[in-house]
Amino acid sequence: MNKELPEFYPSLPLKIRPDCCEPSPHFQIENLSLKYGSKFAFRNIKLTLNRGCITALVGPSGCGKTSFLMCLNRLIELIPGASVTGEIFFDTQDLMKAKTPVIELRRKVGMIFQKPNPFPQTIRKNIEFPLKEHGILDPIKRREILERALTDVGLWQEVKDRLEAPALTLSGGQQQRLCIARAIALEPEVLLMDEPCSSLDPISSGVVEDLIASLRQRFTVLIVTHNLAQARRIADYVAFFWLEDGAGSLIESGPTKQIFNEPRHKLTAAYIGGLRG
Amino acid sequence: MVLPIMIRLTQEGLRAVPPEYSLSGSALGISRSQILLHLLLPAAAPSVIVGLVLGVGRALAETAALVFTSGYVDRLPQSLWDSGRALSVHIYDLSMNVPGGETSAYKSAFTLLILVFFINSITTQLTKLWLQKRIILQ
Repeated sequence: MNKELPEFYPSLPLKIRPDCCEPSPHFQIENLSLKYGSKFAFRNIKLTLNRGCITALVGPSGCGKTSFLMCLNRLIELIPGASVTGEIFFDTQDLMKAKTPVIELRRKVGMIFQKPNPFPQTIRKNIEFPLKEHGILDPIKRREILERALTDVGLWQEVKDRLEAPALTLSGGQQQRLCIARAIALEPEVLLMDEPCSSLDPISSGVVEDLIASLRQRFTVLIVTHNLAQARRIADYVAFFWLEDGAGSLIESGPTKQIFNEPRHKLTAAYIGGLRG
Repeated sequence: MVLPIMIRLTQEGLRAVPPEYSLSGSALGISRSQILLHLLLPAAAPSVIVGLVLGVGRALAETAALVFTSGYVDRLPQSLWDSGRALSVHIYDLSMNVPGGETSAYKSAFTLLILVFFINSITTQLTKLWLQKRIILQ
């Protein structure tokens, strides 16, 4: 199943980024809390995401992992009743300021949802529509970006002869890869992924997982997953969420090896060891 | 008179569009107006067209049918089976057939407007109440 994946494309405009071994913060989150109405979804989250690394967010359902993700591209403000307090720094930019240009932010911070959600348009339009919106009006350039993005996710060979087919005729795994292609076509710096494999069958899930691992260093990735084995395979860092007093809270975070081999908190140990959750 | 049908069906059509479209559109940094134009409206198009067809159909068919079904009599109906006249027919009659009936025609038109407004606001409130009971609000 690896053969349909891109191995390495030297033609890609890879930005030179520090390796994961030399952590440099890309996102810094301080004391972030989120309330839906009067109920806390999560409280006092403090987390740093390192540039070019994959950070996995693990923990039970309902402890605010998805909501946390949505704070980082300010998508949360589209949810009625949600109010966020705390600080989020993206590079040196303070995201909580009202003046933050959200459209630009959401181009730099892409998001992949749990359920593949291509637009009900053709495969080509799915990728070209957002590009057009972001001011890429030259059709030849759009076509280049389209091919490169689809190649990056290993979809080009599968769909190059039917770019005008509706995107919803693709299989689930292909749709999810199309969504990833749609996000990386905009050349973001960060990708937020909300359980991108959980609605896929094991084979497609494996393909998407390998794809995500191949994005390391090119993008900063924050991935929510319920699959601990997956987190262990692809993540450089793991952050563990748990429910405390009815609200999500960050119990422990650190390098994957440390979390899995020497967890500091007994809740983490229990969750990792399969005793709880 | 046909606007309520059309508006209601358009609204329902827009509401039936999966919320993922606008969420994923926003996540790609697409502006709200473009999401509405390129994603929501095309998806809601069938309902909008149905609304248009129903509305236009009603407008075309209604007046003539009313004269024959509810009647064309210029007095207060005595029972449910008695003949009467619809307000729209009444307005037409006053303004076209009765000399100096304009003032009364305007008054009737005003009454009709108030009635439509009243009925619409009641149904809106009721549907809101029913929907709240049926769907757990997020």
